[in-house]
Amino acid sequence: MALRLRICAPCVIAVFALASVLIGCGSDSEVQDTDRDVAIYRSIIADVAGHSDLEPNDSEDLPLLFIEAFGADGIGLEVQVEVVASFIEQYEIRFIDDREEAIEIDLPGLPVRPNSLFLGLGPIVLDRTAEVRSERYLSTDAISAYRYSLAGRGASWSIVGAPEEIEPEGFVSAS
Amino acid sequence: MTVKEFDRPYPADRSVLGDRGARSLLPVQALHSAGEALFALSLVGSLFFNVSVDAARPRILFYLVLTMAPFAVLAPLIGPVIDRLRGGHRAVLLLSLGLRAVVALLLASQLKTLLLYPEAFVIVVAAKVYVVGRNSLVPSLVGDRDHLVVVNSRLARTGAASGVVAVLLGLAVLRVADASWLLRVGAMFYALGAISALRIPGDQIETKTPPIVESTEMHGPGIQSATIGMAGLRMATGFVIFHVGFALKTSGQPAWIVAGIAATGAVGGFAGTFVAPWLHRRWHEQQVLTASLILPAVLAALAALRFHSSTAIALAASLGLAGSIGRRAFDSVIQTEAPHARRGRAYAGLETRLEIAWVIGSLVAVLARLPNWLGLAILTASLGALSLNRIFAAAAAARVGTVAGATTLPLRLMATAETLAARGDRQQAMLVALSAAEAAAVVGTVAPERLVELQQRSRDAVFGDDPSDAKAVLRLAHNLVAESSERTAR
Repeated sequence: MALRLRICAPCVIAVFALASVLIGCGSDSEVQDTDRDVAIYRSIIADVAGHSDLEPNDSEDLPLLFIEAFGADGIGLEVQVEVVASFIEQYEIRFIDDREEAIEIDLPGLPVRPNSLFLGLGPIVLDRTAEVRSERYLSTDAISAYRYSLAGRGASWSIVGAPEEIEPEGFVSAS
Repeated sequence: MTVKEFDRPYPADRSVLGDRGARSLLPVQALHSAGEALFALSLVGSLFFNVSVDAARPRILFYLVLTMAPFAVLAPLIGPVIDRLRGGHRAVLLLSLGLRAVVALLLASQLKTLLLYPEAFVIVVAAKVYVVGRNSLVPSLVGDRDHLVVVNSRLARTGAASGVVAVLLGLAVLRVADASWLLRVGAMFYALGAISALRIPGDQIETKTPPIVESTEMHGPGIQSATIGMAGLRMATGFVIFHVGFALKTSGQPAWIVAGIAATGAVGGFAGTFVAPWLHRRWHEQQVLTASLILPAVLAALAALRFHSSTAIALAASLGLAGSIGRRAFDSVIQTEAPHARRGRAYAGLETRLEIAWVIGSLVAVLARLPNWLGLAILTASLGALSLNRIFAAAAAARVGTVAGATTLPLRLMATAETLAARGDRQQAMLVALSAAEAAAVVGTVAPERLVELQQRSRDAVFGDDPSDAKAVLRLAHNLVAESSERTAR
């Protein structure tokens, strides 16, 4: 028994430690990609929320900002966590799995919940600039969509020009 | 031990305070429960509600699997070492509470970071280690074996009451501060609990009981049946925590609903400590355990038909109530049918299996990510099937003169003999079967010539190699015991 303990316990602890390290850390390039994605999404969210009628910091409860990720790959957990953290003083950001979380399903027109914003964000298309589809949902008949272009490097990305209005796609299935 | 002793009622609660060791455990239990309640409540303000479930699922799964590892891998290795150390289980409690105090303080500033997952799971694992350690420790702190159920009941009531008070305190804290302060207050409770644990007398798990006795007692049909029932209840609790947590998140329910669920779960547990003795006076402990499975099954069915914050709260309350009632019934079964194993390390193994059941239930909820109604319907069906199985098993057993969990000594011995035979221990099985028949002759009516025949055949079969002889002996002993029981019942 003592021998088993001497052999097995260090092995188990080593596996734990290794697994924890593996799950906790990413490579340098992965970290850079995360920082880039966070910067891009943060710029877009700040722009949309800034043009909305949400009133940050005026009440005890922060305004809610629901975000749905368009596309098969979604938005990675690390990116979600960083985005949440970057708005922690202004908005309560919630990445959702189900639209029911963001809309009033019992009301006609399925409007968004009070004092909240419902955004859809597409995947980041990288070329010389970054392009991202963003849609804002108010109700089934009030959906707007824009294509954002962003320029930058590393962790600093900013919107280039006015966003281009496009046809909504991501939220169409909610109508 | 006579047959009458098994039916002796348990002593009143007043005698518990006579056990100094058990008394020293009460404040530790109260502080542990208060810390746990505040930890659960603090998750309302955690990252859990900010990130998508789909994105977080791999990480939650990973840590849930890690939660199982200490019980599945480390416990069998380290458990015997702790058992042999004087004060080993007190050290386990102290370390568990101390570790949680430190991690809760760390988590207080990291509720919205990815460190939430490892830190929260460290607290979950440490809490489960505490439960296993405490339940292993209690028998060695209680002077009189008959006090065990009462002590456990008293501990449960103290813990539940403390949890309810802590939830109320937590809700008050949330009105003036954020969730991180719940963890800071919780850390204080954990630290005080660790300090209180120093007052627990040094224990040593009883190792005088031969392993075969422990093993035989633990493999009795009543114990097996109760363990499966209790494991089902623990599995259901693990499943509901994650399944309903995800459902509330995806249906956009406000965070206070989650706080309400934590509160009603604690209130249900507290109510259970009063309802359980009342039920025990009226029903057999196995029937109480079955009832504690039926209650959440019914509430899960209601929640599946119409999921709403009110049905979710009712389901949580029913699980708290059922957990509390079921636990007392389970303790009673163990106390009655495995009085020696109850004080040994086999019991710690049983506790470990119950904790693993909780983790498996949680894993199913996270892994399957079923639609809300479907998950709750499956929960209803599972608990319902388990309840029905227990009801049918009890009815079948009653037809041969007993109920599941064999209430008389001859039947229990016979069940043990059959278990031994099923495991291949033919010689022991035959000798125990012979004892069962002899016990039946003492307490009931067995034709002397048939008993002599059994004794003769047993002697021949024990020294022979023919398995069919052993089967014949067991069959004959079974018939004698069953007939004797039927006659006694009439």
